Amino acid sequence: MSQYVARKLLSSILVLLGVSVAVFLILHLSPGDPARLLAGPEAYEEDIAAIRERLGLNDPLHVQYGRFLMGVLRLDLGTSFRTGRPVIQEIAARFPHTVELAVASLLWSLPVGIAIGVFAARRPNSPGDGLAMGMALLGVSMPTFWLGLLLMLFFSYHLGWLPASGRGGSPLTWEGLRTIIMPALTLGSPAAAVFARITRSSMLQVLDLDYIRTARAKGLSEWRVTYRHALRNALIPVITMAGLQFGSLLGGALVTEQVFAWPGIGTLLVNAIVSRDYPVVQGCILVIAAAFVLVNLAVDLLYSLVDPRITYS
Amino acid sequence: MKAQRLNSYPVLTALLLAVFLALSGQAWAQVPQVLVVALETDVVQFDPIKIQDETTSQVAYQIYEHLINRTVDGGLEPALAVSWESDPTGKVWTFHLRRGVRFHDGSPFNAHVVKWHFERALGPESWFQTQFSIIDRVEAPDDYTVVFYLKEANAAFLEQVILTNAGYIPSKKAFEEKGDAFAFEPVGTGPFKWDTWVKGQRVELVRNDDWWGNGPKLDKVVFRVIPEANTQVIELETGGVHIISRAPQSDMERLERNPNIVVLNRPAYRIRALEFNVTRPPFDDVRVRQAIQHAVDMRLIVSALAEPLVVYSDSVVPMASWAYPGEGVLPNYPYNPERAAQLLTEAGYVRNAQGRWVKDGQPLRVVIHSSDNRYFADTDISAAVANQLNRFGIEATVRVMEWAAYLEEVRNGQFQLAFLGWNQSSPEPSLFTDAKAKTGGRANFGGYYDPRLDAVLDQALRVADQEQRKQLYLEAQRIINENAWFFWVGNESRTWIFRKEVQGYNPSPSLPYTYTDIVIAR
Repeated sequence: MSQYVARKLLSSILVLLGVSVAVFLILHLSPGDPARLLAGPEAYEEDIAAIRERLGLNDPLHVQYGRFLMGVLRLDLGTSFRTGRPVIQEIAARFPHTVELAVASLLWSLPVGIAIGVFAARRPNSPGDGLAMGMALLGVSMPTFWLGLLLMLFFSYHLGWLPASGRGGSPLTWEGLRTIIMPALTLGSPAAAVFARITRSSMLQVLDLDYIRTARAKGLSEWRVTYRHALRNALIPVITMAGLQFGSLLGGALVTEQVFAWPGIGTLLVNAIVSRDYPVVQGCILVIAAAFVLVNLAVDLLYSLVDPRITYS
Repeated sequence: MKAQRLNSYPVLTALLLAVFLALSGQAWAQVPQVLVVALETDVVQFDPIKIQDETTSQVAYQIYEHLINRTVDGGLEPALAVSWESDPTGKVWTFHLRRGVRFHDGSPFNAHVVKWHFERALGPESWFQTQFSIIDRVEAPDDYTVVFYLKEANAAFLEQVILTNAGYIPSKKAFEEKGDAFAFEPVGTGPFKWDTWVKGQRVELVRNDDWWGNGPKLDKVVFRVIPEANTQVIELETGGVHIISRAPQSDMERLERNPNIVVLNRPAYRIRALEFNVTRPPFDDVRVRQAIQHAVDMRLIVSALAEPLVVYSDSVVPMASWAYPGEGVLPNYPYNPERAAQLLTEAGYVRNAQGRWVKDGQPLRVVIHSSDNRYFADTDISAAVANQLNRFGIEATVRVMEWAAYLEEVRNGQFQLAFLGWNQSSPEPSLFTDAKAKTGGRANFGGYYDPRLDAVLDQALRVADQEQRKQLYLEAQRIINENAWFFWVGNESRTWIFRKEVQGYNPSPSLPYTYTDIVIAR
């Protein structure tokens, strides 16, 4: 087990290294001069040149990358071009908000998705199945931007129940809870739809297996057959998907964060890309990638808890 | 006895009611006056010598102050300086400072702080170093007098130095004590004091009770970061914020009809144009530049796609400036396809069998660079121009780009014709003419060069008399239009959208937003 974890961690480091090289190259090869954007459209060329020099942008690419990598090894992601603050601080101020939004989304989308999937699998090709899968299709295909605005119009504009945007503090407080509901619903909708579809197909496969027939022949109740025997086995692909979804929720909440003015890493990343704040972009992507890798490692380890037949060597 | 007791009930009730009313009245009176303003992006940092973005400047303006201010109608008024004058040569500018002013940290405001600040703004850390390089030295002969010695006479000194973001005066004590944190906990003399900054969410300022001016009436100003324009509109309509920075065009009509919302459009010092790159063919030939303008009905395009926010205009100087001579005075190239055809023929082009203009067998092709929603209706106007050029027989396409990449290509001269704008907060004409059209001007992206123009512009900066300056700028505008470097689109207004209960708000195109006179009506 520990050997397995060590191997996984080692390969994760290689993945992160690859990510850092790719992001660095994409940033530096795409058009747009950070110094020019920093100084503003009204700046004089001389001032722009001085800023470029001060930011080290005139150094060869390998020197700039080496500087970045050495910093990362010391857990120093550099300094934001725009604010002059350490990137670590910028990310630390935002990342927890992204995590809480991702967790809130998963907290509702996973049980709801599984419930809908089981409901549909128990009555395949029935009108109920059609309705459930139709909803799932809608959930997957609805743009989050549009869904967010619809929710806002309904709950804030027409009903006046929830604040339209912003973060009202910790989700454990009343105000915090009120502000996280709509972003979590928006972000979780496509995930819930994916969970429903995966659960349905996985359940349909399992429900066809011999041991389920045996269980039924033993006279077990349908509830016990479905939830104690079938679902547990059918959950493996759902857990894999939950891990992938959580990872992508951590890094993929850009649109939801923008729409709801949620102060997470997505908004920080978008602003950093627009202003070509290289250190912040690199830092954000690295943190998101690291979170993604770690979540997937955790999911790998979780398999053995759900299915004791799985062991690691 | 019983009767007496009965009679006491109304008295008691009245007393209780009075106490309740008094208490509730007191409570009502004590409801804090809090203004909530939506910002599109978070603030960046508050070291004045590095503030370049409009959002930070807007917040900084509540905390810091200039030596002098622009008035709503474009004039000048005292701020931290009570009076100022320049000597007859225009090279020495003296400011007499307001006495008894203190920074929010209690340190005194005086000439030595002003001298320290501008010397710092002249130094290598400053992003205004080149702009401020017209200053030779700054001296503080006494505690309340500051003298700026310029390298040469400059009639636009106030605009180029004093009224810029780097003209905000911060506390020297705060700079020395806070170190790097100075840029994130600004200390000025302004009507509001720094209170809280929750990154990515909001900035809160509280009233400075010791401010030298009248007001402010608000207890607190909260700036909320709301990046999405649609979300800003919903927040405004539901009362989550009082003032928003922008709204999608599709919502404007609804907002204007809403009795709880005020929409103000005011002319601003913002010019828009399609700018020719004259350093290479085909636009190195003035006849081709003129022909392009004659071939397109820009007035129609602007009125159909961008009015009332953009109004057609024909000069580099904005219509709201004292130096704009009025419409029809300057040479221009209105829609006239016959004249366009004649000019292209003179330039050596012929129409082929397909109706396309060609020269030496090569068709005349134009690529219009356009930003994407940086300026109002930029892509729509560019597309309409391309359509009309195609109809006229010139192959035209539009290249729409993200701002950073766009700026890079335009600055590097990698364009033929580019949709560009220039915004200033002042009617001073040199801010437009010298930047856009003077040789080597900081926003002269098309390689414009005319020694006659440079001479006129140099002279206009050395003259102090406004009437003389007006004549010189008229001459400059004439030369610029004769060269046909710019295909004028017009002037873009500024729009302010706020809730009706925000009273006393009189926004001006020549000022950052000021909140000192605002009261929230209940």
